[in-house]
Amino acid sequence: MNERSGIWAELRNQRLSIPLVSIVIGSFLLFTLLTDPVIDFSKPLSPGLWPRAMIVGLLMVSAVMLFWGAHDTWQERRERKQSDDRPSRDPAVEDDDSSIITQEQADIIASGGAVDVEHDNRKMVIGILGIFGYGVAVGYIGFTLATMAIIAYWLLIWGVRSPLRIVLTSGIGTGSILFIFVKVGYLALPKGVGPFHEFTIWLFRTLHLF
Amino acid sequence: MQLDILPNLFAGALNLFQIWNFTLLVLGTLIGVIAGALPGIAFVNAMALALPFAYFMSPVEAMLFLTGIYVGGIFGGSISSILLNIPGSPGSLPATWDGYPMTKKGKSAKALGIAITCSAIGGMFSAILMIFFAPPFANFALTFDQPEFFAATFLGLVTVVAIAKGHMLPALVSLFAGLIFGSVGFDFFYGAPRLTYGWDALDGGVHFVVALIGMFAIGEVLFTLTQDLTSDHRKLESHTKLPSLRELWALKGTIARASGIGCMIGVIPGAGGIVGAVMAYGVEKQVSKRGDEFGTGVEEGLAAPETAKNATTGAATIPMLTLGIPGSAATAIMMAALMMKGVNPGPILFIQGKELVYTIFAGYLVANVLIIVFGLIIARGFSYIMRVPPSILYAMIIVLSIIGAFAVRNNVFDIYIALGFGVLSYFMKRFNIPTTPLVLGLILGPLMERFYLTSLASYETPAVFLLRPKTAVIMGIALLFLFWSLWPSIKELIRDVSEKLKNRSRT
Repeated sequence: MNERSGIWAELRNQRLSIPLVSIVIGSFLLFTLLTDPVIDFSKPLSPGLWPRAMIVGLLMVSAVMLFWGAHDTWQERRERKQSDDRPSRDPAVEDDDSSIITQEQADIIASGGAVDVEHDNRKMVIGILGIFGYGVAVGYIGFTLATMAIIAYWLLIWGVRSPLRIVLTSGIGTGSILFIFVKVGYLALPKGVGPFHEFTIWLFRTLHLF
Repeated sequence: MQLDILPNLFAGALNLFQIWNFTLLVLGTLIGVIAGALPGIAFVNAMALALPFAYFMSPVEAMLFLTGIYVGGIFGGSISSILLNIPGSPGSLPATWDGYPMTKKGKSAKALGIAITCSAIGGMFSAILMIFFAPPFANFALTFDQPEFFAATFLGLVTVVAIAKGHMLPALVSLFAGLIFGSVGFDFFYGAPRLTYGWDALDGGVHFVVALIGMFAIGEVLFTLTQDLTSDHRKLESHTKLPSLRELWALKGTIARASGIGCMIGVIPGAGGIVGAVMAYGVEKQVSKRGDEFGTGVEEGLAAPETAKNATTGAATIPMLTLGIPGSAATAIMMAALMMKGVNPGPILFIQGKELVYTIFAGYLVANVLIIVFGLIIARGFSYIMRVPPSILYAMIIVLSIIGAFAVRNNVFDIYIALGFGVLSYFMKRFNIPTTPLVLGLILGPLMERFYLTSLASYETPAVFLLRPKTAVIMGIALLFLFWSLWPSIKELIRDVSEKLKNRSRT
């Protein structure tokens, strides 16, 4: 495992990164809530009462998590220095035969039964960009064109290279969805702006969807 | 409220067998079994994707469709667990421990038969429990006032966190994040916008259906995209042989224990199929004479988690229907569908929506019979199903998710929210932070705030949550759960401190 994946693995152990991110976000939310002129904290049952309590709760939990994370990291480093390669354990947890759920079972449950496999970060970035690109495009170029584009994009990500297959799949897929949701369901899907709006209207009329 | 359960159930069954209602239940169960069987698509994803279609349905139709997907999907995951050693859904993970070894021994037909039959029996048992337990519980819940509802919601959230045990802190972070998302938008009392940062689109808050679609559909697609779950399934042999009555009788103890565990776990918010299955497997390993052989392809090792997994379904629906408190992502989606159609789950539903409630009950019973039929068919055609190109499948999931998110309020901004939750869900899964507490926090947060504020407005003291007997009992149970969850840590802390003191006294 190279240096970068080592850093990634360290981040994945969530000991320090997760609570730190939570504290930063929580502090920002608390600051903006407390300084919001619209919210009057002096009122009985103030509108800010509940969100403030929840943000404070998040900050407290994150602080505890950070403390344990720092404690574990420090302990592990000390053990490593002493050349003791015992596997590290979460000090907050211990196997307990008398308990209903064992630690192993709790780990499985917490992971949601997910199979621990390697993740491809390149695909992750491509996937996120594609999804966000689609979200933005739907508002501007309309649902029809954006959907055809995302299906084609997704086929390319998964390794489909045949232009005919890409065009047919995206065309038939989009057409089916339009038929179900526009013709049958009367859903007013986004039509885009400017010329794209005109194009969508023309297309829907041509396809007898209106 | 009169509790004429059997006549009402009969009326519900008549309603269920109306052609369109029954068709949707059959279709839902079929979709559920297929979605569950496909690695990378859990039944919860299929349920989230079904939400856009629920707009075109009546509440009864939508609930039957979702019931079918839920019951079928929770079983379907076992097909790929047994045949490929890849769990189709989280709750099917224990099926790989003894199911796949049976396949390796050439007993895949028998393993599939046991999985199908035990799932159906467990599910049926759970449905019967729901039918006879939910109406009297709803009757009892009619005596609840706002403080009791607050306490019950609090109990639900506490158990979601407590069940995470060693991962309690990440679960709490997830829960608080959900509660914060739930408090975005106009407040209940004064109508003041909170945490909206001047975005008008956020004034109405984060709609939980949008978040559900983002988390369970878009996030899942991203998660699957970055993993390599391909396997060679072209020459998969998947015949099924249902167990004989004698073989089933030999498993009677296992099935009875696992049904009990599944039902018990199902009622607990946050637990769900995977907890029931893992616990039933653990208990069976201890109880069975062949406990030492577990993991090598033992029938009991497969029958226990399969029974328990489906036995959580009906039980998990009880708190959602009777109190309006969903305990799992699946029941949260069902509640979302009900609320989308203007139906509020809770004790009143058992009076005003009796027909709907009992049709759902009948739906659970019939769906558990249908999984035997579809289990046999899908298991046989599994190798063909696995040939569906993932590219098309996932592209369609993204598109349907976008439609679903948009259709909630006809608002493009909701698409961005769904996408944001999709990415958030991806990173949460990757960092091993449970997503269910966030979803439940988002759904239950606004309800809890309302119960809290109306309780304070009515009774003018926070002591109301401790002084009213029912509220105090519910709060006490919540604290007990917390203590149970924290006990190993407390014990460890005491042990550490006493060891350190001993070491010091020695030196």
